[in-house]
Amino acid sequence: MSARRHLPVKFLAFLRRDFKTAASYRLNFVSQGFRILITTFSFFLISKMFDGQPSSSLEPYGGHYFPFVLIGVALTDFIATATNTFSNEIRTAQMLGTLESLLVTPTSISTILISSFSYKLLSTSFRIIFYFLVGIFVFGLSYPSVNAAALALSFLLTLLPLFGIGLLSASFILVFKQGNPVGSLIVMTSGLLGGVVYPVSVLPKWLLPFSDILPVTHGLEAIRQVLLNGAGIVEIRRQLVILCLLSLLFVALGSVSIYYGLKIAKKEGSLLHY
Amino acid sequence: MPPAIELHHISKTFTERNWKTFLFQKPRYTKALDDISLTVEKGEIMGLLGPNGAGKTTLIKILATLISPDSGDGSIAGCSLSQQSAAVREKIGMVNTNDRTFYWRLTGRENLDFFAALYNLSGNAKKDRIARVLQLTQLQDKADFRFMNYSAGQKQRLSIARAMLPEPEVILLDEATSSLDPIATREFLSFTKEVLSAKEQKTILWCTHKLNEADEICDSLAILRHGRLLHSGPAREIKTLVSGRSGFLFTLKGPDKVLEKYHLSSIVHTHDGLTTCHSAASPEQIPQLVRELSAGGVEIFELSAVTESLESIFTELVTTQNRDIGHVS
Repeated sequence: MSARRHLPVKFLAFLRRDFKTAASYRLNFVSQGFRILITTFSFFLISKMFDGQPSSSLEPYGGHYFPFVLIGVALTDFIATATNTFSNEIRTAQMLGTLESLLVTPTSISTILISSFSYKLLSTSFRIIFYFLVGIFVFGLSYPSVNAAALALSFLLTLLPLFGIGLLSASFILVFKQGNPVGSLIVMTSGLLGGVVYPVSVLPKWLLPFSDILPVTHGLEAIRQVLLNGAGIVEIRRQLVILCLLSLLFVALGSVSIYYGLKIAKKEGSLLHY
Repeated sequence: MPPAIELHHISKTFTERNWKTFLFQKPRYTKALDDISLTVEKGEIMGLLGPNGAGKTTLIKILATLISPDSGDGSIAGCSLSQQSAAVREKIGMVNTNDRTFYWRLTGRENLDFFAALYNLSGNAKKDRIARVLQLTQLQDKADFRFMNYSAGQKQRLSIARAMLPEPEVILLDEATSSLDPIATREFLSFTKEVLSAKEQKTILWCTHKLNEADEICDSLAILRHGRLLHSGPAREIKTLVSGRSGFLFTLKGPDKVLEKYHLSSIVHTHDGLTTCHSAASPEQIPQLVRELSAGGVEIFELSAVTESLESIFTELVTTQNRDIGHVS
């Protein structure tokens, strides 16, 4: 049987492992839900300050701050998960000591990384849904008819380049162990320049080129257009094309870096060091 | 049939780099392994001995494909370490002393279920294999307890159960008893000898610095020092390497010429006209030797066998400089 045929089994094994481990910390589930409620409530209160004050920056998104910012905040969770899961998985496994037992099995490091992403992606997706449920049922938000295909495609294409950046971060951890400048830089600049809590249009002009190279800028724009303006694939094609190009670039970079990162770590004998 | 483990001229040097070495210092190099060639036959228990820093763990990690050697190559059950690393990992099971290689909040069965999937097992094959290794390690009753609640001995048994999941041809044991108490150690040794080796016919590479354990269960030994292989070969032969340290002690009185003729000139001490000297003769040669000595006018007052412990031989081997006795077999 080829290694690829075993992939779903391994994928499910990681999913079960992570779910069972997370389920053993029950209080964490409750505290996560509570945190989402508090965050949503905070931004709801902030949005109250702008009520009745029309803003030209928010006009392309329906003119209201709360639905705009809720998408940004929910997606930040997604950005952090996609960017940091791989490096966290390696770092945690190095620190706990489980990396050795994973790597002596006939399972490649790429399979380990991708599979370890499954639970994180699922739990982050649930958290994002919970953000929107809180927005809708607690704070009375409503979204126009949403094009599901456009939304799914926007999510997927936002995820792919972040996935590549995540691989880049993981290779950095493999070689240098501590610090994760790639992941930290992307999460920080995404928060600052990606249009998470304010529209990109309010940024100084000289910062716009930096904003343009971030996958989050285009991902958030596409998702907001779909959720707030009912846009379809045709209306967001520009963002989707850019996201495709960024996906190609970052996934290729990430794959090459993880290959060489592993090679260097094995050569230096530092694979299991932390 | 290829040997279970074969290593050809494996060398490994570690380079220590930091920000200073980038700027103005030369990197520091540590030679961990130097031209190691070794063969372990199928079904053999080989003890890999050496003081701290000898390169034992590096060698084990190279065999487990966790570290790449700088030069040389090797194979496990015919699969090349450098070219077929995934196939190599299907043929090995690794047991070490680190209980952190398990997920503590999962049960023993859940841990095995997870690792079985990584060994490409699924469905009923996985279920059956887990049941088998639990039975083999007598952990059926504890299988549904969380790993964090296991005793040190049970943790080590689960480590063996995990290593047995792929039905490996070779088991690498890295300081496997270092966290066990004497009773658990004894159980582990007899399990290794009677079950893993005799019943399951596994080839075992036992990396340890506990010489009494190696002495007790290993068929052959490989002794490392400063990354170099000092000796490898059958355990019994290694014990005879250091001349005058095994054989028989005679307490006797007789002409020097006769003693010289029978290689009894290695005098341990003389007292009251009696000489105590050493003979390297084998047990089979002793009756004939006694007859010939008596015929030559030698009076024998006492005869005793010398059984040198592996520990003293090991200590002498690794502390003696520039000794190069070579490969035994």
